[in-house]
Amino acid sequence: MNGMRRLRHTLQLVLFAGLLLSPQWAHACAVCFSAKEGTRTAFLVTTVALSLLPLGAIGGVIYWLRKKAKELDALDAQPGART
Amino acid sequence: MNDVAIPVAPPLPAARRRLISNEVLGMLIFTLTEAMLFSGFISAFMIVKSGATMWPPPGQPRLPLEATAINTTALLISGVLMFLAHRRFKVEPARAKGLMLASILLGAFFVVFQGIEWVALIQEGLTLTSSTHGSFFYLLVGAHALHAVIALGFFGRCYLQLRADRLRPEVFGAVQVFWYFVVGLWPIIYLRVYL
Repeated sequence: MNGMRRLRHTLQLVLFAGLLLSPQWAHACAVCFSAKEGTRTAFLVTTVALSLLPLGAIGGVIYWLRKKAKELDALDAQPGART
Repeated sequence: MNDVAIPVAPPLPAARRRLISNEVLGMLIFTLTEAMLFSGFISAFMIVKSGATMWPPPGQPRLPLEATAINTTALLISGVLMFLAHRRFKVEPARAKGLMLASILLGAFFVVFQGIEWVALIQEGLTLTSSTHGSFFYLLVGAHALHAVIALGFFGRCYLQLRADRLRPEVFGAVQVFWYFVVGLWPIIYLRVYL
């Protein structure tokens, strides 16, 4: 039983190392229509922007809601505030 | 006397606080998805443009930078007026009418001006199928114009409700979010597509 687990872990490690050490196998050029450096840079920049935009937007909404909640808490804490 | 146990009602839950109205939250989620859509369009445009040897492609007209800069200013002022109208609405709703109407008129000016610009560009040979430049231009600017027209429709309805003293703050808030999206997106499109 122990041996099976060890074998499974070893296989997982080999697979992970294989993926990590052989990025060339999975290399797929998304901008093959143009081999220019500018195109590659544009691809990289837009990929980063598209990845960060939803995180930033959701983070912004959460920040705004937290700020609003704190403002309401401060109002409630004032003497004579509704209970 | 027998002791009779009187059932005690469980304590009522504390009143739930609403941080944000459903209308505004729904509009925020919608505008976030729209932001992703436009980001995709702009990303595709940037990649295609960077791969081109000449931009705009040969035989295609240049976009009117100066005239559109005036139009951009009108739209930005419209956004500021919307902000001021909302602030005034919170204090004294009846006095927000003038600002709101001015904001709508500037927004309408933007859309009409865009239409005139399109007619001129089509006459110069920039069409949806003339080049990738034309395709992206009409896709991006057209999608934005569509949003502007829809937002103006909502905005106009808000104005009529305000005049009839029936405008709810939640509805105004939701329309405000949408209009800010339309106004805020345009400078990005202008900088990317026109310059």
